[in-house]
Amino acid sequence: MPPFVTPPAQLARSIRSTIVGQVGVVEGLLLAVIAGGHVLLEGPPGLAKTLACRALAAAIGGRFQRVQFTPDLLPSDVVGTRIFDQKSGEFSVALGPIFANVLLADEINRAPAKVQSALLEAMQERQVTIGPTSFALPDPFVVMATMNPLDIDGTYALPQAQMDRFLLNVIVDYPSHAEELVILERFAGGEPPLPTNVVTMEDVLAWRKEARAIFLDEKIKAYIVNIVLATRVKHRYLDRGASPRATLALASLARARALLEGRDYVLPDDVRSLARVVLGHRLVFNYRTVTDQIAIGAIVDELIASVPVP
Amino acid sequence: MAAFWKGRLFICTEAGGVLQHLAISVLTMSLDRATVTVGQPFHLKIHAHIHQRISRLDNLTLPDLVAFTELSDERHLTPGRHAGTEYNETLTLQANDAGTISIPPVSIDAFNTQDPEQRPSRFSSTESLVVHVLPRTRAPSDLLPSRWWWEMLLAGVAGVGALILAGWLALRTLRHFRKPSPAELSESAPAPTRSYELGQLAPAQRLRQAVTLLERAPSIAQAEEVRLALRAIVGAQEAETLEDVLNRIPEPGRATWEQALRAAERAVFIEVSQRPAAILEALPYFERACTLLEE
Repeated sequence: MPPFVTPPAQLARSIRSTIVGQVGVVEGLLLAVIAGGHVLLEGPPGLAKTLACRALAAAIGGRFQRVQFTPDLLPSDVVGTRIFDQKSGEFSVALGPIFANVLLADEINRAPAKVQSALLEAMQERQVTIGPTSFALPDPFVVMATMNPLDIDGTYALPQAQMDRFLLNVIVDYPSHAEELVILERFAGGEPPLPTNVVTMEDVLAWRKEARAIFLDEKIKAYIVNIVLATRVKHRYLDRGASPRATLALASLARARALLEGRDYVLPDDVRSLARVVLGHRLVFNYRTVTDQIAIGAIVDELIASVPVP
Repeated sequence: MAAFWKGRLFICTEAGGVLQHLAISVLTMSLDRATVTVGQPFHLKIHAHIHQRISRLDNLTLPDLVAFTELSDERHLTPGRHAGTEYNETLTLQANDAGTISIPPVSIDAFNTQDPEQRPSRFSSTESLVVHVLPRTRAPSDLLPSRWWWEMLLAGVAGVGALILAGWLALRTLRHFRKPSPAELSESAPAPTRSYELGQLAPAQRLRQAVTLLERAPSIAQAEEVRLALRAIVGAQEAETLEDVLNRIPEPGRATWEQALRAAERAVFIEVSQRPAAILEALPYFERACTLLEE
């Protein structure tokens, strides 16, 4: 296995020392870090979305910034702005909170489209232009955005093109009975301390390099493409299927999962287990899902299950 | 005296009823479709808003609907949201003949309470409605064979299908009981040509034969055959991954099956240059699975 100092599984263990349950959330955050993408966490309030992001950022030990998205937020509040210095008679640049290794965009759908666009442009290009100068963002740069699907008053829905920028969208669900009991125990004396500096930025960059070298068999490649193509067939509830960006995302996340599990090859399980979080937010569903009261997750699952495993 | 009685005389309608004291602010009539075919049902809706709270509405005169067959007539009087009464009537009609038919306005006779002298008035919807009735066209369903024919056809197809299935099952059962000959076991034909033959064997025989061939001549194709045989034994469906299968394997022998299946997956999906070594490492697990099955 690779020569990096700390394996990614150790980072997972340290985050689980703070977060009870939420296996999908913890795995999703780690995979986004390893694959070099951004993650959108969607779920009702109080399910440790923000805490999970904070725990990961603290464990990575990089520069962490949190921006609470509100309707009056401006793009300059996120990316930065130019300030005129009256003494020197020149403009100076004040860099915004986006210049961080881990940026937590809390309740991303509460900010208007222009702020979302400024952020998502940075997510894609990994650089920000303020005035005439472009500034490269730190590497690694991971955006973890949270979204509450219940309070839709005063929110701005993320356009499909912007949703597509997120490598994966994890739906956060309520903990089980047993997990809730553990939460009661663990948080009885207040919030437990976050794991700090478990890994370094160099470790993260080494994981990324290693993940890109993970072997992907031709049969697995065909399986990935077949799953994505299954979303483009004519379907009662689908208006538009996933783009080739989804194919690339599924492949890179499958490699990241293999690395997380200590393998240097990808299995069909890696692809199948991630297909839902990669495809769910990239598909455009039509009105019939509402009129027929069909759960979107069930449609995605059905599409994935229609593809034979190699 | 005569003037006194004149003011208090009940004014009777043609039907003999007494006019109500009403203030009607809305009286409308509408159609849910303006063009229909002969025999096609459509709805004529009448709506009135009356300022008073009333429990019945008398003296509503429907337009002449002689050109139509009345299929149903639903009337509802409901209290208005703030005050007054809402009257809604829905007539379901059917045109008898093609052509353009005009439906004259609907009217209500009552003492108008908005008139200072409360004189009898005729409230009326403003305009006539026009229905375009097209000749009856043959419905697409009429062009199709009758239900009896469909049922007969389905019964025939089902019968033929059942016969084919029964024959296939009988053939399959006979082949399962046939023991493979020594010649078959020692045959070292390439894996792709074996795969069909292996498919005819019982699961245990299929796995044993695939493992024997893999031990004799390790190859990627043969490793894939072993993986397929293992999946068949644990009842893996086409769309199921290893994790799906492992979730339902019962406890006796579970560890053996899990090790064999994981070893098979590794041998098949690991980087090509590492596969020979992965196959050799997997053989003991395959052997253990065969032994467990044969026991």
